[in-house]
Amino acid sequence: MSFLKISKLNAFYGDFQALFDISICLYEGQKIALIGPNGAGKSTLLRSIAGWLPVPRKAVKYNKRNIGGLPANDVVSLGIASVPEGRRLFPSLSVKENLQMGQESGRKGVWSQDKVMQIFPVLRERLYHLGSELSGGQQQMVAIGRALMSNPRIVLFDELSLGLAPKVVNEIAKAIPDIQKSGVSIIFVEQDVRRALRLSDYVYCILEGRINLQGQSKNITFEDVEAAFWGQKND
Amino acid sequence: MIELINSIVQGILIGGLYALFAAGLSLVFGIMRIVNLSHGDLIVLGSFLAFFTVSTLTVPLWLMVVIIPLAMGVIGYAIQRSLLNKTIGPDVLPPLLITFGLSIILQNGLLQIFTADNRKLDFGAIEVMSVEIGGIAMGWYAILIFLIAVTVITGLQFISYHTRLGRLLRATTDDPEIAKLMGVKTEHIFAIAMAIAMIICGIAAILFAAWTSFTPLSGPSRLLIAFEVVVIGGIGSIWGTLVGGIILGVAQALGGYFDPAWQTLAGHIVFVIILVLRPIFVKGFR
Ligand SMILES: Nc1ncnc2c1ncn2[C@@H]1O[C@H](COP(=O)(O)OP(=O)(O)OP(=O)(O)O)[C@@H](O)[C@H]1O
Ligand SMILES: [Mg+2]
Repeated sequence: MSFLKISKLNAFYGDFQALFDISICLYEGQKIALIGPNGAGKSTLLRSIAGWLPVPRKAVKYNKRNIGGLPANDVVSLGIASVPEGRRLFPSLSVKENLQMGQESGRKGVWSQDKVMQIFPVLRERLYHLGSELSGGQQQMVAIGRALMSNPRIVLFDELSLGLAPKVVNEIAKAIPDIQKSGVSIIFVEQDVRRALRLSDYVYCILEGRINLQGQSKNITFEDVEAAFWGQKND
Repeated sequence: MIELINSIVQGILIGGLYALFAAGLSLVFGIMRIVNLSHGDLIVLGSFLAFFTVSTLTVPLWLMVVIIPLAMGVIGYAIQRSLLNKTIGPDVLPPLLITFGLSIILQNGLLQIFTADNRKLDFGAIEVMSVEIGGIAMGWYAILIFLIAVTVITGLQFISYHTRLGRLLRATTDDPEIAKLMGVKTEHIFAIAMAIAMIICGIAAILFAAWTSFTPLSGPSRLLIAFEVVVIGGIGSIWGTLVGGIILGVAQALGGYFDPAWQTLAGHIVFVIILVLRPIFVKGFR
């Protein structure tokens, strides 16, 4: 049975419709990749789940509850945490304080500052630096750690690798099994199609606010995705 | 010469009070990007409440001093939750209009209830007692004001950097959207910030009510002082408000030393000079 189910989601910015009838299922323990060109609506989809956008209550179902459009602070306390696009650390808070912000959801569980330091050891000497003083990769690690500190069941992860060196991306990707082991399912946005296919179990391609290709990642090739991006018929 | 030094010392001490006027304005602007145009009138409301509690309700002074700041805090929380939170958004105009409206309502409401008479709180002997140090006479009351101001500002600094509430306030200042995404009830944090601002206003209101007389229309001049102090001291800087308050206080004292008519004007002139020069100092001369 699916754990998070998005059904026929339409999302708007004012009069502008960004998503059309999007339906997605996430099963426990699964990793879903969202791919699509710039402006396709990937971030909008994650924001709709996280409670940034006013969407109909029934459009998002989580653990048998309709949670569409609940305030973002309620969504995170139900166990859906976000690593937002652009990481968005609190610039005037230290790394330690940024991580503490993850605990504001009030959820108990296995994640702690120590455990985050275990999966990202480079952060250890950086605990008392400001968020704004870190490299891009380290900021990404803090953003992930901050999301994990809320002991989530689901992490919505926007832009895994954007602007990061391949070596750093690998370092971060290496942490994914540990994250999954704590009982976390993941929906992530990734620009690099090959990496997205490699890291995920299931993939959705979004184009202009609509899903135009989906399937088990192992059954989908780079060429399929390319064809989908160019709007060609896929069979 | 000694008289000049006397004026400067007096200016420094009263600068503490100005810092208290400004601290709340700065806090609220920093976190919610609201320029609270009713800030001065809320201070005057505090002064009237203080006056009313001691003169009409005959509550003892020590009790009033505790009650008024707390009452102001509750009022601040309520105003923010019920009114101002609804105006926060990408558009800067609604909060300006609403707080401007609130200012007019407060002024006219106070006029209705308390008339336009001059009022003053009476603290008794301490208002006139003074101590002489090295030939400089300092009023005990001015010293008390300054000490309270420094204590309040230090306390605010402590809350900001050493408590969970402070962390939430700073995080919300940085990025309210992400704070909410982390589970922070930002509406509540906004209201707490306003409550803290109003508690400080309440303290300032009591101190100022015994320093000079006030009427229901004294609000705008309090707002102006607060505004100038915030700009001089730097927006969002807690210690900056104390520095700004002292600079303004000294400027007024020096103006008044040369010609009593110049007292307020000298403050405004220093404000304008700093406003014009600061970008040059910050960017450096090219
Ligand atoms: N705050 C906003 N207000 C209005 N329109 C927006 C807003 N954010 C996004 N959009 C529009 O919604 C559409 C989808 O944007 P979204 O950010 O979801 O795309 P994306 O797939 O995440 O793109 P990218 O890969 O560039 O991050 C775009 O056309 C974009 O211009
Ligand atoms: Mg995006």
